[in-house]
Amino acid sequence: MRIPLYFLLMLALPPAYADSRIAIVTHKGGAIDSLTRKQVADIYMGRGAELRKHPDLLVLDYQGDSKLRERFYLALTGKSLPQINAYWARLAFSGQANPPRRMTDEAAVLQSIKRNPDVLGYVDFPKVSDDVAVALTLE
Amino acid sequence: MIQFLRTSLCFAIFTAPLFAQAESTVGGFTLSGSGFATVGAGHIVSGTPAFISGKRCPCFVPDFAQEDVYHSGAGYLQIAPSTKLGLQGTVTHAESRVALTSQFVLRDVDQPHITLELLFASYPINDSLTLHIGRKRIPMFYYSDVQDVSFALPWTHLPPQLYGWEAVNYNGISVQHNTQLGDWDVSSNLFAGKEQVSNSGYWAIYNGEVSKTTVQWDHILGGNVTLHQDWFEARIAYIQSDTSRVARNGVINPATQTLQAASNPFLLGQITQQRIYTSALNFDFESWVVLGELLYISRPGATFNDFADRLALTHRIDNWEISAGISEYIGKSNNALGGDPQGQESHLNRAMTVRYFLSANSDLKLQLDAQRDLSGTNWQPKFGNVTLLSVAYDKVF
Repeated sequence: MRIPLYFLLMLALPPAYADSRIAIVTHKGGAIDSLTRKQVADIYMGRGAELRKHPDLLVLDYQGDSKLRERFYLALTGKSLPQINAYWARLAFSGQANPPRRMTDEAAVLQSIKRNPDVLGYVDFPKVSDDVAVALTLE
Repeated sequence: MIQFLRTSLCFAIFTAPLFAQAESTVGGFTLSGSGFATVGAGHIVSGTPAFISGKRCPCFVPDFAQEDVYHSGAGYLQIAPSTKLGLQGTVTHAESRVALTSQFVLRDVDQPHITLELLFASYPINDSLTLHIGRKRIPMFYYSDVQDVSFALPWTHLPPQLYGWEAVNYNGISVQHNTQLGDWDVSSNLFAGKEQVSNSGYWAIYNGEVSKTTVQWDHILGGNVTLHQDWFEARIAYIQSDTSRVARNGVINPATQTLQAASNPFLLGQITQQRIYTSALNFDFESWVVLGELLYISRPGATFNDFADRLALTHRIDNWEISAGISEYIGKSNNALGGDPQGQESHLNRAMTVRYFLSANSDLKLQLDAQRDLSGTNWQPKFGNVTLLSVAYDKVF
């Protein structure tokens, strides 16, 4: 049986509807409604004015070396996960700052954001539900 | 080695519950724990033969403060001295945000021992100002705060020409201020305190382990300011203190390498003052990092002052980092006070490092150091030139 070439090419290509955007999500009606890319980068790097404006803000990240985490830091800072962890090693082991809290998965992040007004996290865009707010979208 | 592993195991078992990874919340307190580990080894490739302070050289000192010395007398491959295990725990009161941070490090394969590097309480006075009380690192250089955390460094060890003095911690009080000036993050720190180091590792290198030198830094007063914007960081620091040293058992005569007995107590120097000035510039742009550091120590009334500088370049390629660095230390004689221009210590080190990230939390590094002894003809002890090949496996958890 001969399989048309264009059919094989279609299988090899990612589906057109695949959404690779990452949403920075916060509590709906919470203290933060929108953020710039720099503000999010500063928050996740433990610095900047936004963290001082919201001292009780709980910043969420993920355990392990997930693809989402890798894509998030690459899109946000241009750095790989090992580079991010080396950066945080310098801050954390000097006692200057604590890294974002590590959650198990996106469901846990969304759950925490729904319950608490001072929480910031990130999820794959298609996972965003109506009961959280999107502060920024990373392409 | 077996003793080290046994001690490591006991240390880990007994402290693991206190430093459990990740976070837990108990009665309004959040407990978090983390750690770092390095298995390091070195091979002296070549250098000047000598016998100094009980060690057969060529010798390379990656960390003066901890008496870390690679020396040819230790055999073809030396597992000590960079191997270490560190554990850090923080307890935070959720409501007041008062936190207590502690860090212990198990080090030295040959004579395993645990050192307390951090133990301080922090209290946020307001959103910009934080008060710290307790034991901290002396913030002399860019990487001083994490001098034991090899995973935070692009190299197997810090440049000994700048880092590693007779005291690297202090007990005292500090106030940290963070603010924004336009696009700049500005972090300022003022601190005061004192430090006593019993059986100083730094002086054991120069005077022999037998000397059991006690170092005292009193009236430590200092400050540092860091400016950060996107890919650029600039840092300046000033520290002053009184310094004094007492060698209980005498010292190894640097010229003859024989024990010079103590007159009780053997005072190596009167109480003197030091004024330390440092600066650092760090460019972290896309795949390139350039770090430059300068040090000047003024010692009023002494016969010498200290200069040191460092320039390092790092290039990142996927999971690889390639670094090249040059650093030098120059003891500058104060001729007006009788200093001998030919009696000063000086050395220059060139290093190449290749780092490969095995995972997001671990790496493997290989580094070649070529150090030239440029000390004056009257300077003793003469460590001479040395080439060191070192390897390190680092992990944070």
